Amino acid sequence: MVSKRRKKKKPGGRKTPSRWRWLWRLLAVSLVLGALVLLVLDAVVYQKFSGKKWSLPSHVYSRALELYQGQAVSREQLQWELDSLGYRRVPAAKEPGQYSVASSRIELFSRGFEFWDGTEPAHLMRVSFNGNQVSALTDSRGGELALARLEPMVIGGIYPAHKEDRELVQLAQLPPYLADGLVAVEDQGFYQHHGLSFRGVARAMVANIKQGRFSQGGSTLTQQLVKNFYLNQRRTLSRKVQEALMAVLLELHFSKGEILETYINEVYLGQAGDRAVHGFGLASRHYFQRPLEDLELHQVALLIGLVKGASYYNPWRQPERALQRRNLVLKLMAEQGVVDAAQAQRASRNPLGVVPAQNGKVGRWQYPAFLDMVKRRLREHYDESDLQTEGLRIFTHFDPQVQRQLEARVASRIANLESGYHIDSGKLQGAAVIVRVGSGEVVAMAGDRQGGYAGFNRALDARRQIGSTVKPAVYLAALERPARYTLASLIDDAPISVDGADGDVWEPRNFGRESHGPVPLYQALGQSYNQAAARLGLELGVDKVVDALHRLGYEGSLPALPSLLLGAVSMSPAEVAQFYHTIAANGFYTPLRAIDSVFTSANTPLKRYPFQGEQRFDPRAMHLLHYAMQVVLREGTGKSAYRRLPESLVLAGKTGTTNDQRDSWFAGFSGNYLSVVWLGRDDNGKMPLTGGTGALQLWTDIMATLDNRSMVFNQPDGVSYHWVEPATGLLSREGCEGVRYLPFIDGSEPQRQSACRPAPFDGVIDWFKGKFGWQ
Amino acid sequence: MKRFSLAAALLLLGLLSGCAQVYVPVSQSHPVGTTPAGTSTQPPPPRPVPAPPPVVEEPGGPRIEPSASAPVSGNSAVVNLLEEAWRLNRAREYDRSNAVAERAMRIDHAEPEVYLVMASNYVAMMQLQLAEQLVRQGLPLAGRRPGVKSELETLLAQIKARR
Repeated sequence: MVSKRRKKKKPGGRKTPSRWRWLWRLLAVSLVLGALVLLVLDAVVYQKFSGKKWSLPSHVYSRALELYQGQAVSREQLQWELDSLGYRRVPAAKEPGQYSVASSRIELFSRGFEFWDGTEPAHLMRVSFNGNQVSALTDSRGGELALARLEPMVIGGIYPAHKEDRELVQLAQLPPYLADGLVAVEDQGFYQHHGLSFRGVARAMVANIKQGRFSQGGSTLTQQLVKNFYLNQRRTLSRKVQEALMAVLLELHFSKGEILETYINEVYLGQAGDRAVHGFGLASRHYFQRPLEDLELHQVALLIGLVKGASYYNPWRQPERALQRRNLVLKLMAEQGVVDAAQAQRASRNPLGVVPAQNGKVGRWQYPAFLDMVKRRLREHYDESDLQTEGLRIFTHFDPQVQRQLEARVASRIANLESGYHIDSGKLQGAAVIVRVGSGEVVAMAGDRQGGYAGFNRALDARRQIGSTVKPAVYLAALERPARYTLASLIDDAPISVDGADGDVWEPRNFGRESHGPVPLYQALGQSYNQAAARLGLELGVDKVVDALHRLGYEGSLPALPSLLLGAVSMSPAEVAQFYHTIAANGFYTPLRAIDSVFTSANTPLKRYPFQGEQRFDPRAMHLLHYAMQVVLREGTGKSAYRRLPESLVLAGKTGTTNDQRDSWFAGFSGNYLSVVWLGRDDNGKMPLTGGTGALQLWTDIMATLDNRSMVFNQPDGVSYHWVEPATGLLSREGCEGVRYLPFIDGSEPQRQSACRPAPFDGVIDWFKGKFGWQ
Repeated sequence: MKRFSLAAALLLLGLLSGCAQVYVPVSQSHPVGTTPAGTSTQPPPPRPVPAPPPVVEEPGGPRIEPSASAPVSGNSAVVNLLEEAWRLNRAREYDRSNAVAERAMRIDHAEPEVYLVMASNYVAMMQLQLAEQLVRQGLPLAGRRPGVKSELETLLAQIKARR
C-alpha cells in the first residue's frame, strides 16, 4: 500500500513543487524585468528633462526703428510699425506695448530691449509729426528726448527638419491667470497628485462607459506632457501604462513648477504654414502678434482653450467654436476661483481679438529674398545644425518699411510696363537691392516681381549680362590715369572693329546706330556711347578694366575680352550693388552686410558684423567719376528720373541695356541709398525695354519713396574746376559759348586756351566773387 | 587801369579777411557730456544745413558743381549718439562704442566724427589698419569741422608712427 501510495503520489509530488518554483521564478524574472524597465524609463525621463529639451530654431530680426526729431517717418508708418510689433492701440498708453493716436502725434509706451550696445529701457514717449517727419520727441514729463529705439520685429526663422517652432518662456514671464487657468481647465488636482489622478481616471471611465466610446483619457498635465514630450500619439494599453509610469517618475525627480513650465513651452497650439506652433510664447505672437506677458484675460483664455485641439478650435477657421471654447474656459476659471465671475463675464464679452489671418505669419517666409541672403551669410560662420537647433537670435539691417515700399513698386511698375509695352502678362520679371550708402547695409531686397515669393531669388542668383552698367568701371580706370585722361579728353565715337582670336570680328555699335565723332569723356559716359567706351577701354587695355572691377568688389572671374568693355559679363543684382557701393562710398570698399549681430538663445552676445572700409580708389578720380555719373542723370540716358525726383536732389547712376534688349538695368545712388534694379525675362527673351525705359522707371519709383539726401559731392584736395570748351577740350572762360565747368585732378587740366580767352584779372575777380558771394 | 586798381584793392581786402578767420578749437569736437542715448537732454542749437549745390541750365548742359563742403550734422540724435560712443570709448568698451557709432552713421554717414570715434576705438584695440582706413574715410568729410579734421590728422600720424 505504502509503495502504491508512493507510486501514486510521486508524480503529483514532483509536479506541485515544480509549478510553484516556476511561478516564483516567473515572478522574480518579472520583477527584475520590471525593475529594469523602470530603470530605463527613469533614465529616459531624467536625461531628456534635465538636458536640452528642444531643438530651437533661430529667429531673424529686422532693424530697430530709431525715433528722433527730423526722422522721416510719418504717423501712418509709425502706426504700421507698432501694429506689426503687436502694440495695442488704447485711449491712453499706460503700459509697455500700448499706443494712442491723435491727429498729428502718437503716444507710445515702448517695450525695453537688450541690444548689442546696451539695454534700451521701456519709454513712455510722445512722437509729434509734421507731414512725413517727426517734428518732436518728448518723454512723459514733456522733456525733449534726443533719441529712442523700438524693438526689432521678427521677420523669419531657420527651422529644424521637424518644423517645430517655439519661443521659450519662463513661469515668471507668464501673464496673470495663465498657469492657474491652465491647471483649472486641464488638471484641477495638479498640485495634489503625484503624476496620476485616480479620481480623474475614474471620472473618465464613467464618461467613456456612458458614451460607449473612448472619449476621455483622464490624463493629468504631467501625463499629457509625457505623451507629447517622450511618447507617440498612439492610444494603446501598453503606451498608457508607460505614460503612467513615466509621469510618476517625472514627478519624483522634478518640481511642479518645472513640469508646468515645460508643459507651457511644449504644448502644440497651432500651425503657421508648414511650421508647427508650440508653446504659449510663440502662440501669443502667432494669434495676437504680441508677447505673452502683454495678453489680456480673454486672450489667455483662448490659448488655454486651444490646448484641447488647436486645429478643431482654430479661431480663424472656426471662430464660433473657438469663442464658445474660450467662454467655457473663462467659466471654468471663475468656478475654480482663478478669476471672479464679473471678470469672466467682462472678458467673455470681448471678441476673439486674433490678428487678421494673413498677419498670423510667425514662422512663415515673409521676406524670402532677404532671408535667403541672411542664411547664406550665416552659413559662412555656423553649421546648419546649429542654426536650426540652437535658437540663435540674428539681428539684421532689414528695414520692413523700405521693403514694403519696394515690393509695392516692383509689382506695380512691372505690371505697368507689361501693359504699356504689350509684353505678355507675367513674362516680365524683376529684382532689386537697396543698400544704405557708406555702411553697406542691405536694407531691402526683391527677388521676384511678387513680394513674398519664396522661389528663385533673382537678386542673388539671376546672373545676367550687365551691359552698359559696367561702363563706370571703364571710365574709372581711365580717370585714374590723369596724365592720359580727363573728363574733357576727347574720345572718338566712331565705328570700331577688333579681330578676335577665333577669326570673329567684334564690331560694337551705338544703340541708335549713329556715330558722334570725338566726344568729351563725361559726355561719352553720360550718353552711354558704346563705340567711345569700347575705344577707350581698348586704349587702356582690358586688363585695367578687369582690375578696376575687382577692386570695386566684384569677386567672380572676368574674361579679359573686348566685349567686357560693353558689359558682356554676367552678374547678379547683388553683385552689381556691391561694385556700385564702392563707387557710392567714394572709392571705399565695404562688403555688403545683411547681418548686424548674433545672440545666443540665452541672449548672450555671440558675434557682431562690424562696419569696415578699405580705400581702393583715389578720391580725386572718384570725384570725376561722380561728376560724369551725375551727367547721366542730369542730361544723359537717365534724365527722365528728374521728371519725378526733385531737381535739388543730387544723384548719380548708370543705365544698362544688353544685346537685343534682353536685360534692362539701372544702378544709382543718392547720399544715403543705393538702389540697383534689373528687369528681364526668365527665358532671356527679347524685350522692348532699355535701361532707361524699363529699370530706370522702377528705380525712380523706388527712390521717390525713400528719404533721400543729396549725395556728398565735396571737392577733394587736389581737384580744381576749370571752364572748358567741350568740343575742343581747350581751356576757356565762363560766359563763352557752350563752355563747361569741369573738375580736373591738379596738373591734368588743359594747358591750351581756346579762342575765347579770359580778360586780364578775371581770375582774380572770379576769386573774389566766390569768396564774397558777389554776382 | 581802373580795373587793375579795383583788383589790387580787392586782393588786399581778401588777404586781410583771410587773416581774420575764426579759429575753432580742437576740443569742440570732443564729447560735451555723458548723457546716454535715449535719455532726456537739451538738444544743441541747430547747426546750419547748407543748401544743395546749384544746378544751373546752361548752353553747355546743366552746371554740376561740388557742394561747398560736407554738411555739418545738426542732428541732436547724432550728437547724442556720439557722446555715448565717446563715453564707451573712455570706458574701454570699444566694441559697444563702435556699435553706437554705427547707429550715428546710419543717421548721417557724412558726419566725420563717426569715423574719428571708430578709428580711435580700433587704435585702442591695436587694429591699426582698420583705424587708418576709417581716418581716411573721415578726412574728406571733415571740411567744415576743423577740430575733427585736426584730430583725424593727428590720429593718422599716430597710426603711421606705430606701424
